[in-house]
Amino acid sequence: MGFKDIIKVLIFLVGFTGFAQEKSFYIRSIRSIHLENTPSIMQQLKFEPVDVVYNKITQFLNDKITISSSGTFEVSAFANINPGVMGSSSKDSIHMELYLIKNPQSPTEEILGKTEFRFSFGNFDVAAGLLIPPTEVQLQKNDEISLWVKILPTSNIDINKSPKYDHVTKPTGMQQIAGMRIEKLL
Amino acid sequence: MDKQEIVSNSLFVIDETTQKLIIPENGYYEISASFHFNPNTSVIKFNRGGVNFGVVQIAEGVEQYVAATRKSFDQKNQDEFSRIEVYPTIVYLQKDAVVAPAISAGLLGNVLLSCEIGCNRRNKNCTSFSMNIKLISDQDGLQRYY
Repeated sequence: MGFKDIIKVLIFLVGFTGFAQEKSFYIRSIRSIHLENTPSIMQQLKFEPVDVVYNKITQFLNDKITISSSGTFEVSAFANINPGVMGSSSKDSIHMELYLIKNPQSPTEEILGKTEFRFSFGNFDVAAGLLIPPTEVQLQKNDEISLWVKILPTSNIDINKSPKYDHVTKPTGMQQIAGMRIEKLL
Repeated sequence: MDKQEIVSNSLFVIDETTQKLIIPENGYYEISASFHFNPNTSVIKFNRGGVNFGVVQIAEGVEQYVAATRKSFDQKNQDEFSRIEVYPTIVYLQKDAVVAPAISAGLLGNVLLSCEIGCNRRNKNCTSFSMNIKLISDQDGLQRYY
């Protein structure tokens, strides 16, 4: 059995057919974001109008991203997070969750996507990507979509508590900080 | 990579002499990629292990990730294959920019000597790397940061 038999590399390079603009939304932060050392409390990762890359399906007004028309959507998101501490023992750990939430703090609140990451000894000062994989969801007109982080109470050391330290940040060697994508499928 | 590994292409001009993927026109592109990677090491345990995976553009002499993710390795995954996904990312790219997949050491405590993109020998239906680039709009735009 040759090497080629077990290794498959696939490349899809798709051109533009017709002149339709794809019905999507993409936003990414171009500034790093501070987190408070407050386990169990939801902390929003806020975007600004200048962060919008592409937008055919939402309204972004007063820091709120709202869906322009009802339908079936695919949503995904990421945040690169560095707790910014050293830790003192191999038993130390920091647990965090990243959430994509519809209509936060309202009766129609719903978690659209969620991921957990556990920072371990040696990597408390190394950025890790927390990723919410693409998920199909139903959204209504005017639904608000936002991105949140929670430090879990199972963490046994603090994150960097300096008010000047930004935990959601560019990992060494790359520019990406945090982002969100919404695509209208139907 | 070999040209035979291209599954579908209606975007780039590719012939026998092609060495680079060159963006054909200004526009918004959606990029995703997937890496199957094994650090194959014993030096990350309790040490720094941050590696960057993604797609770079090379334009005007500057190489930078336009779609990327950071993978943090530790004692649990330093000696096995992990699936690393770069989920769909929309960027504005200019005509003539060169795009290419890339992996870089982000923040590592030790040198990785025998890391590999690939698959376990027993895993016959495994894709070691894939990349998808799609032009989604030819509308004018400007993007200085990624």
